Formats: sequence, C-alpha cells, structure tokens
Amino acid sequence: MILSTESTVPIYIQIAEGIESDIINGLLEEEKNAYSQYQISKQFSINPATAAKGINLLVYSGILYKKRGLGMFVSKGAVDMIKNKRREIFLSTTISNFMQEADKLGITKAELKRIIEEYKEI
Amino acid sequence: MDIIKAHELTKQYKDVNALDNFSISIPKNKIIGLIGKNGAGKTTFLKTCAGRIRQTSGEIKIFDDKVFDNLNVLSKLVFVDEESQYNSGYKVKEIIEMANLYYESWDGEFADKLIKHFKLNTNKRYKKLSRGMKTQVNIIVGICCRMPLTILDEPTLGLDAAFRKDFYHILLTDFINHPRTIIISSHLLNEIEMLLEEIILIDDGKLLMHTSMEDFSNYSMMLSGNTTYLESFTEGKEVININSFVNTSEYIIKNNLSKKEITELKNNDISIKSVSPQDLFIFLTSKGVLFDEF
Repeated sequence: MILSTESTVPIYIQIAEGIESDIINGLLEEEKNAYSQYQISKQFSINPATAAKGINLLVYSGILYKKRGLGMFVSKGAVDMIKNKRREIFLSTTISNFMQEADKLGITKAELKRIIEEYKEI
Repeated sequence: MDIIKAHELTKQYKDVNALDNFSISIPKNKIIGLIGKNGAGKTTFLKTCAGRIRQTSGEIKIFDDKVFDNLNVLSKLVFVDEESQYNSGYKVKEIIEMANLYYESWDGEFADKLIKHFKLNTNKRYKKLSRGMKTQVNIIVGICCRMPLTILDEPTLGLDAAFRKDFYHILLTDFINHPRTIIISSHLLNEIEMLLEEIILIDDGKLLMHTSMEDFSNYSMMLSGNTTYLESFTEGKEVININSFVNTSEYIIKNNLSKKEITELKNNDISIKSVSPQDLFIFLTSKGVLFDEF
C-alpha cells in the first residue's frame, strides 16, 4: 500500500483502496490477518482515527471483519467482492469518461473498436 | 469530556484584540491542529490555555478548573514554545534531570533514546545550541513528560524537512502508545494534516472554524472553466475564492452541490477538483485580494 499526500483523494479512501489492492494482488489473503489501525497509523504517520475510518469502510462493505482479540481479518470471498465492485466502476464511470473524451477528440467508435481489437498487452 | 472550555475569551494588548470573543470546546485524547497566519492569535490562545498569561475578559477552564495561578491544573499540562525557559545556561543533561524531578510521568528511558537518536551532546549548555538543537531539546521535554494536555506552539521551528518528518512520526507513535490531548499550532497545514483529527482555524483573534480534519478536507471544491458560465452558476452560492485568467476562471465554492448540479457542470465542460486543506486555509484567511493589489 502506498499513500500520497499530494493526491486529491482523501487519505481514508486511499487506505481502503490500498488494502483492497493488496487483497487482489495476494499480499493479503482471505481468512488471514489484515493490517491493523495502529500498524497503518505508524507506518504512514497518520492519525489513528483516520486509519480506523479507512478500515471501517471495508468492514462495512464486508471485505474485512474483526475477530475479537485477534484483530482485523480478510473475509472469505473478499477478492471476488472487490473485483465485482471495480468491474462495475470500470463499466460505468471509466468507460463513459473514456467515450466522452474520445468523442471530444473526434475519434469514432469504429476507430476505437479497431484499436481495442488490435491492442496487444505489453 | 472536554479538556479546554473557553467562553468569549478576549485578550487585549493596547488597542489590539489578540483574542476576540473566542469560544471553543476541545475534546480529550485527540491530536488537534491550531492553524492561523502569523499574528492570528495562536500563541496568545495557547499561552492562555497554559496559564502563562491572563485573559482581559471571558473565561477559560482547563480540566474544569481555572488555570491561571492554579498548580492543580498546571501540573497536568506542558507548554512547549520557542522562547524556551532554559535560556539561563543550564546544560542539556541538567534540563533533563530537572524534567525528571518536575514531571511525575516523565519517561527517562524514552528521553535517553531520543537524545541518542538526535545525537545531542548533553554536556553542552542549552544557550550554546543551534536553533534546531534547541528545538530538539524542547521536543524531548514536551513528549517525554507525557502530560494529559500537551501544547506544542510551532514545535518544528528551525528543523529541516527530514527532521520534521521524524518528529511527526515520533509524536504520533508516542500518542498511540500513550493517548493524551495534543494541540499543535502551525501555519504549515500540509505538513501536519495527516496527524490531525480535528482542526481549529483562527484569524484576527477570532474562531473561524473548528471541525474534523475530514470535514475540512471535504469542505470546498474547485470549479474551473468558462467565466461567464461559472459566474451565473455560482450566483447565490457561497464562493470562497475566484481566480480568473482571460475568459476562464477557477471558483472555490462550498462543497454542497446536488448530483443534478454536478452532472450539469460536467455537461458544460467544467472541471471539478478537490481543494487541498493548505490551499483552503489560505483562501479562507487571505480574502482573495492578494494578487489584484500588486
């Protein structure tokens, strides 16, 4: 997880997204320990209340859960939950911004289609 | 429980009100930032909290008690500022020994650790130290005494950027291990915003705002695009600052637009950005005339 003070995204959102990314990348595993509020707070020199807020966002959405006395854990099925959520955002917001920008620049749908089909992973 | 309760606090110096009807309640066990320009009244407020000066009128209670000349309260707080009390020629190690005697909750082991970490020569006399080293000694005393109310007035003066970062980390870690109320004054909000849970904005001796750091970060937004469009769009809205260039403008407004309005802005090619807390602080306290006059 990397946090940026330069970013316009609030820190607690960055924390939630950072943990999510670490879950998708396999740095944090399902049914295993996640980072604690104080770990995050010390690591990035941020107020513990801010760290708690980021974690609670994920508890609320069911991605993390608290085991009494053992701390935060990654829920079973968390990877799928996060991927589904990000897929939804990609299909609605990302694609729509992308299409609007293409339209502004006068790139036609046919052209886009060709570029997507010819796109090779680098 | 609120640790500091100030009611219509006023401090008059000749014909200037350094504090002007200042009322505030400050909660327990949080790190709170007191932010204002030079001369805004930060130090006057903190000195009143610490019992160093007496208000002209109004009331201040610390731990539900009056603070001025009250040892019960004074023994539960520490006030660290730049004009240090040790300028009398004591050696650093003597200052540390005195702190050990004076503060019941003094953590000598931690103090030794910090002295080593900062590579301070404890045989040197305080007044012979460089400005940065003096600040380091002040910080050690301020942190290691672990007072329930810790007041740090511009604690990083004279420290380089790397050292300031170090200090913030030490302060935060110690706060986690030993929760207490810490008030830090600064005009460098961008450096300390991550540490803070609440922020108090002071200007001309008056309370401008007291809110959570999170609400402050979300307080405003920046709209940029066509001037004519933005002029009519922002009519009747709370505009904090305007910056124009030819026929495009940047409007800083209060962040309370409806979804419908945001869609409308996007459809009219207006870009929407968030405003950094430091920028918002400057906009709120500079009244937006800075560039036009010069």
